[in-house]
Amino acid sequence: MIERAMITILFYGFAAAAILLALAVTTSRNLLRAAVCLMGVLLIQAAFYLLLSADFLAGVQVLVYVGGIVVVIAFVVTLTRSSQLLMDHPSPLRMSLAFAASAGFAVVSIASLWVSALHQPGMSHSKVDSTKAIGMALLDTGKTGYVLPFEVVSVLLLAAVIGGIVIARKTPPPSQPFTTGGDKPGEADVTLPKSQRISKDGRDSR
Amino acid sequence: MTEFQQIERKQITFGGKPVPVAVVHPLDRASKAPSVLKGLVRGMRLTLGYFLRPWKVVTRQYPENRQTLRFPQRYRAMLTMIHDSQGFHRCTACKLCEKACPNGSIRVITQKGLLEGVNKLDQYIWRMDSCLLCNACVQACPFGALKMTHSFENAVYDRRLLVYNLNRYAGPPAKVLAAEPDTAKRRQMMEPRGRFDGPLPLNEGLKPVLAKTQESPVRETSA
Amino acid sequence: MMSVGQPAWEVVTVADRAEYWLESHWYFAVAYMILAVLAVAAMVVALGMGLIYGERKIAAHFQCRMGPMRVGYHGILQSIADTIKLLLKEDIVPERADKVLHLVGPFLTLVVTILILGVLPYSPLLQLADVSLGVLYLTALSGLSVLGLLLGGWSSNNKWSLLGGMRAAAQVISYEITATLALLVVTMFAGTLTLSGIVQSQAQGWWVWRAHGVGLLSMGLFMIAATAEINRTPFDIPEGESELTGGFHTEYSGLRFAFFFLAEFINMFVVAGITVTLFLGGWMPLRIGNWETFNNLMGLIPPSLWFLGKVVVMVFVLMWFRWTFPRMRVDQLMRLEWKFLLPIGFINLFAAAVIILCKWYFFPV
Repeated sequence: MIERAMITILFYGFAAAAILLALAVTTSRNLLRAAVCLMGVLLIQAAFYLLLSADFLAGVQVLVYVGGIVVVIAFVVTLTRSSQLLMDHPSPLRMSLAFAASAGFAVVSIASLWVSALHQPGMSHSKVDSTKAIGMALLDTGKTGYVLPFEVVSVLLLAAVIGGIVIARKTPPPSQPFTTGGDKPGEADVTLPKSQRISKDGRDSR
Repeated sequence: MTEFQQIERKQITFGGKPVPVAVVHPLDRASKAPSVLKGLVRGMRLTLGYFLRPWKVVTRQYPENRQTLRFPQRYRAMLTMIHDSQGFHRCTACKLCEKACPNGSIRVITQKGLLEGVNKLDQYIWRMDSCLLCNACVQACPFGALKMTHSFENAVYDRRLLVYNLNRYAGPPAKVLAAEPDTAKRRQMMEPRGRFDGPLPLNEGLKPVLAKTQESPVRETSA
Repeated sequence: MMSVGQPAWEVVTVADRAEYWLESHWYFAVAYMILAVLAVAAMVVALGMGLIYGERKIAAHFQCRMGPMRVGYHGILQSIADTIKLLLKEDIVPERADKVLHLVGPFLTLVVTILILGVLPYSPLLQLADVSLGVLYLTALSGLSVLGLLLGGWSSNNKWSLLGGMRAAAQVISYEITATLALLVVTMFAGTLTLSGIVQSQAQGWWVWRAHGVGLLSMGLFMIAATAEINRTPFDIPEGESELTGGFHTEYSGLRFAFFFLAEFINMFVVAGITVTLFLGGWMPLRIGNWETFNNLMGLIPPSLWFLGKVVVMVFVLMWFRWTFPRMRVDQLMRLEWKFLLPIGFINLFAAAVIILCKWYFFPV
């Protein structure tokens, strides 16, 4: 009973904090502060997962979202001149349209959640090892298994990593079509300006 | 980048055309691993040797070791003007040290003795608060009048106390004073001199006896 | 194959006790939680001061000199003097720095360190909380600490601090991968993510020798990756004192600098603690096969002393690294991780998986 009371208090507290932080994310004038508030929101999301006894998901949430995505956002904000993007003063028409859209979305989502009979997750004390359960389900080749989506997602991640490397690499000078990895100085680390390229058939990529 | 990676460059024909290619041998890199690890372990063994021999520290615990302090001969701590046992120094106020000093920590003040018209040393001002202890003045002096001593405990609480006057009492030497019977006159002889008081009495009347030490690699002044 | 006379260790954490008392006498639960908080605070303070003194003395003796000798006998009270000085220092915030983020940076770093402190198993009865995803918790929190460095570097309004913060963040997120791969090997062998479970699985022998070479390689990988994660020499380019003045903590003084400084030293303890828990048996005494008297003798030493002794040795090794190896340049650092340690880590993990699946081990698991 005390446990239920504690969980209720914690839930409302976390929910209030999450709403305030989310409002701070959208209304903050400083992009990096918005990123930090986003980190707060995602951490509270992990806390919600813990309240629902999904501890593995909570850990993965912190690892992937906070440790990965918010860090990438912070890198982008600090490396680019993003502060100039916030000099926007929207016209009253735009502001009212935005307010109407978000109000409509809020009404629709609350209404749909209210109407649908979602199963209330009971605070189960079964101490089920969620890590083991998720692991078994991910590699289950049976009817309720998720091994196909798992493998497809792995291939997708591989494609994303390769695509990132291809986009971010520097093109080597055409006199050296196969790179050695760019370790030695002057090798594939510089992109020759157009005037210095000696390609005869104009096969430059830039 | 060092030649850590073995890269071999050659020309191969690819589709009929010669193409320059760089071939990487990753196993060459891997074969260096044992020597790399051995180098790391060697370094660690050295520092562990230092750690396990705490009696071999090179730190000296000052001020507990003041009685047994030893310095090398060339240690430079404080400038002095060499005075022999009778109080004579060898400075002729030629001002070469003042010119040699890189930041002007030396001021040589002369006074023209009116009777013989020669500039003699009145005050030799050395500022320890700006001196670099660079030894240029000692090397510049042609008479060997300056010396760097080992006295290093010179910290004071008032910065004005760091301006030193290196030549000592410039009045009549003890022999001349002893020859004067009247106490009042003796006291008056020891007073600071005015401009028209006559020639500086330091070396007057007595021939200076220069002690022949190793520190005077100078030509003898015939005075 | 349990040797006769091996005591069974029963693990009870403070969180377990709090949970037990929650329904009936909830004030006991509150008291246990307050006790946990106070214990962690006391540990942070004691560890900080002790480790800083140890670092100075050990560093000095590695360098043929003596370290602090004046304040107290052989300088024992030096840490107290330093603490008082740091607390009384003026808190200077640069003029156009972001004041909130300037505070959040060191705060975040220290909080992450303290959160990990609460999870390590110091002895069967001295663990604050046995999180059910122990190893995942550790990796998640090291991901969180990156943000502290970034914010610290950015909020100082200083180009060089920003550079230092960027380098620190890049270094930490790169070496996290190798560290995780090394930890995963032990997780696979132990079969559980919980830290106390991993410690208990080492009852027959510590994973560093029991895991067939894969364990030794994992421990080496983890030591290197963890040294890089806590920004210690030879990987301390971000805070290299002679490189970027102070790196990302140039503009910090007083209490905020104390947070960064403390976080670095307690991180050292935490990394040593994780190494000991996963590879060196945690609080498990040394047991060799069927040597009865030896095992009983080893079992007489209390487990918390085992943990402390092992952690002291690991911290000494970390300091040994610092004062032996020169600092690596930032591109050499990244090259080491992405071109050497990461492939070796993956091969290691694969080999460990193969060993476990094909049951190619001599020791019982």
